[in-house]
Amino acid sequence: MGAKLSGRDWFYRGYALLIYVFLFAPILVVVMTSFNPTGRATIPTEFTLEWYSELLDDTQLMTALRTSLIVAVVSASVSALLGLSAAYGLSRYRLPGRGAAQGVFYLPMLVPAVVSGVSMLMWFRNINIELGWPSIILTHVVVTLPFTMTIILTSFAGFDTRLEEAAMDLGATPWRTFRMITLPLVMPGVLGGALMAFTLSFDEFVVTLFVSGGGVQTLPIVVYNRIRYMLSPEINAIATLVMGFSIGLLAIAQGIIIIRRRRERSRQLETA
Amino acid sequence: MAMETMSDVSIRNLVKTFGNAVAVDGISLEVPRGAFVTFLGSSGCGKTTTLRMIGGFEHPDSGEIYIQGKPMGRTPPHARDTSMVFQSYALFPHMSVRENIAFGLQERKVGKSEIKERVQAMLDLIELPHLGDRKPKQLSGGQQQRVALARSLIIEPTVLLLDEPLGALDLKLRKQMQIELKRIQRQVGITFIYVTHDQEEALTMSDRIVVMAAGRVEQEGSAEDIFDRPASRFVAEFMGAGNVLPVQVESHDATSTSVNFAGRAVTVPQPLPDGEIALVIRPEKLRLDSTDGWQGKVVESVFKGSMMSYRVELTDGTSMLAEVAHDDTAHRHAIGDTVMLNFRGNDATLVPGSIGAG
Amino acid sequence: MAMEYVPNAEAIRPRRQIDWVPIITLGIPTLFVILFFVMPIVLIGRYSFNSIDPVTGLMTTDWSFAAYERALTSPIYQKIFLRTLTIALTSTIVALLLAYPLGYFIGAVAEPQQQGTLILLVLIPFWTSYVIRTYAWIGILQTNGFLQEVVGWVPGMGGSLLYSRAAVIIGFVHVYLPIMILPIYASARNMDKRYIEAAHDLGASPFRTFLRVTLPLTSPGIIAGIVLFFIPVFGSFVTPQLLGGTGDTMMGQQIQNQFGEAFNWPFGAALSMVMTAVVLVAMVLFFRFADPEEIYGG
Repeated sequence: MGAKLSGRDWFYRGYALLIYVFLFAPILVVVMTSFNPTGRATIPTEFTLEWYSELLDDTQLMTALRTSLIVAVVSASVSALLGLSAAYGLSRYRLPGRGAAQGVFYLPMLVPAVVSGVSMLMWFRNINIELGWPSIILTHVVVTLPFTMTIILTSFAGFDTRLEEAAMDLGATPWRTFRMITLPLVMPGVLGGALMAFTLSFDEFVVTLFVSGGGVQTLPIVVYNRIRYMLSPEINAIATLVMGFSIGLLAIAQGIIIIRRRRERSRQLETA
Repeated sequence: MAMETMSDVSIRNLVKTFGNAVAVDGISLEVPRGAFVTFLGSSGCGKTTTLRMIGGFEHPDSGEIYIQGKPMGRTPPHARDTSMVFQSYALFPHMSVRENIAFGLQERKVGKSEIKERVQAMLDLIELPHLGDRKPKQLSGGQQQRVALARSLIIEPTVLLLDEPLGALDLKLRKQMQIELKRIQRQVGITFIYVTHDQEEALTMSDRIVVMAAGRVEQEGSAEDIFDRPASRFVAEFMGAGNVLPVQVESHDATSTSVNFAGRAVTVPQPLPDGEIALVIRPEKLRLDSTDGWQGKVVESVFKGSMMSYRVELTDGTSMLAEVAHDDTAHRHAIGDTVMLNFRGNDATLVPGSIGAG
Repeated sequence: MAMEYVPNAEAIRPRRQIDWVPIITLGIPTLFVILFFVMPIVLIGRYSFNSIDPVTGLMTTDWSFAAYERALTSPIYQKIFLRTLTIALTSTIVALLLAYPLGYFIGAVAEPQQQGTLILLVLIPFWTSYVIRTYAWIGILQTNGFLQEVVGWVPGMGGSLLYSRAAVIIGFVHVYLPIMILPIYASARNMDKRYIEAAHDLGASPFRTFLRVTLPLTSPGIIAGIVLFFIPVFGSFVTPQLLGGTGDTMMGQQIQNQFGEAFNWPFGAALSMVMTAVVLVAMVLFFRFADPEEIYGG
């Protein structure tokens, strides 16, 4: 940047820096503390991996991590599938009731999490759904569905339905048309939606707290209980790992987008 | 139905409405085997809807479409022996050119080696033999157009449907593709049904033209028929007739009609149509330096390259458009010049329809 | 080749045939959400009209407005409701003041090729677990915590900031600041910068320009940011539970308490309904005053 920066620009830059410090400070404190032998949030004077090795022996945390991963993978898959189904229907269905159906999908996004949590807990008890794996996964699918549906719906928004007509015209049955044309073209949306659902599910806390029933515990639940009831420096270690994982996922998603854009650009250059 | 073997497509009393709008209002026509037939009309005339019904993308409210004698009913597109070339080409963006062209054969479970051969043959036919591995986005508009054509032709449909396929191309490329399309059609011998709003395009390519307006057929015939003998005022104006003039009938018999136009008699070799009539004469059929005829004054002159276009006002106030070859045989007129305008009755046509009406 | 039209059986067909595919694909997820989300809310709605038998302590299913009466008229709950609203609105205002300059900077001032990175930096904290981020503030704010050590100065009275209202507001602002920044950034980016140049050109001072041009043009983003921030904060339960004082509880905690410890389901249900109603009203106002398409489109 060769241009001279004005006073106004310096103000903005300094201000932005302050906000970013505010946003990242807690994260950095957790990371720093995870390597601090005292296990307390102070400026570390020594470096240790002690908390990471203790983490490996902490069966409760490791089980919770495994539970969270399984819940996130299963509910993200189901959520993406239902989201795809809903987005397909919404983009093709032109009869009355379409708006109402779309509104229903957004409800879980609007109702406060505490209210969703108690409501689903009461309902699961009423209809005898076991509190544990089934209730947690069902909950996570419901909570993530508005996000997956919205993301997949954007891929359908730019979809040229004449591509489907062309495929059928060339002899493809409706199913083959979906399989060969529609699905590959909305796949980026489906994967993006699934990734979003995975992250949301992995972090979901409030609703899960109500419906988990105590037997099956996801990572945020265990972390929360530790925070409230005992000092547990391994929390910093697992938090660092989990944040590293989340940021890694985000980086991968961003990386894919950037690579795609570059490819597009080089293609356009080729033809120009 | 033996009498239908001559037609690849017969359409009977086809009606299609969208909500309250009548898109197709009782169309009947026959498309002969191997012909290049064009549906010509402005947007909203029902031409595309008719084409889409032949392809099976829309279903008629009533009436029936027969393809090689078989009633189509609600047969879905994939079970019809037709193929459509879309206005936007609708090439599959995630597949290469080769995969796009091979698609129809794959869906028909044709063997791999045969697909490979036939795709290459198609690439040769459309003169893009080396671009098979490109993605559609990497091709120019004209190239995409050819690929869309190849993708439809490879399944050897009975009828190829083309929905304004040249609409997105620039003028020069369009002219080139018109000739190219005609060449390919002759080479493969498949019936083409072509939809366009461009009358020049229709004239260049078609064996038969179907002029449509407001969901009905206005006139059906060869390019010469439509151009030289418009059956209605609408067709005359749509084909760019230029001069549609009010006349009074003086006398008529079985083969000719005499009319009075601006004080002079003109005899047109044509029986008198029903109702009110108008005289149609194309601008290029007018002469301006005749010894006899209608006197007028040049009020506008436009240079059009090979032609000079003049607007002439006759002494009675009638305004006429004349086009004269721009070469050294023709005298040039300036604005304000007095000219003697004339034309032959054989070059004029009488059409039904009054002048005040539109 | 003209032919007489002969009506036949094939020619006369029903006008429309129903296409079942979209109905089924839309129907299955809709039923899923109805069964596992709408029905639970309906059930809680029904509970809110139940009452507790004072003798047995059990829930009776006769229709009653007792729970609503208590929720809306009890001074304690009026106070908690007002407190929740105060904390939520204070956090929203603080967040807006912090978010606006940054969102505007990223969207309208920063070089276009830097915008992506700057927004990604806003998103990264948002993608990390909010339980962990809230937990981090405990370490920072507690007595002898990070803040005390770094700054060497303890704000507030005596000991630490932890378990105070200030801590709760800091927690909220930190956790949800990104969803306030995003819509402001989007509307600043979509804003036509020539309007500002025109205003300067016409002699408006920077302050007047901001008031008369920039602010109105970015107002859809501001409204979206306020609503998107307010909704989760108003219903929050984790942040006040972890960072707040026991005497300064919010509505979300009360609801959890009614189901978890007090076992007064009708009352908890009525509180839930009131809270949901507030959020839905906020949402409706949002749709009245801002067009979401305009904010996120383009």
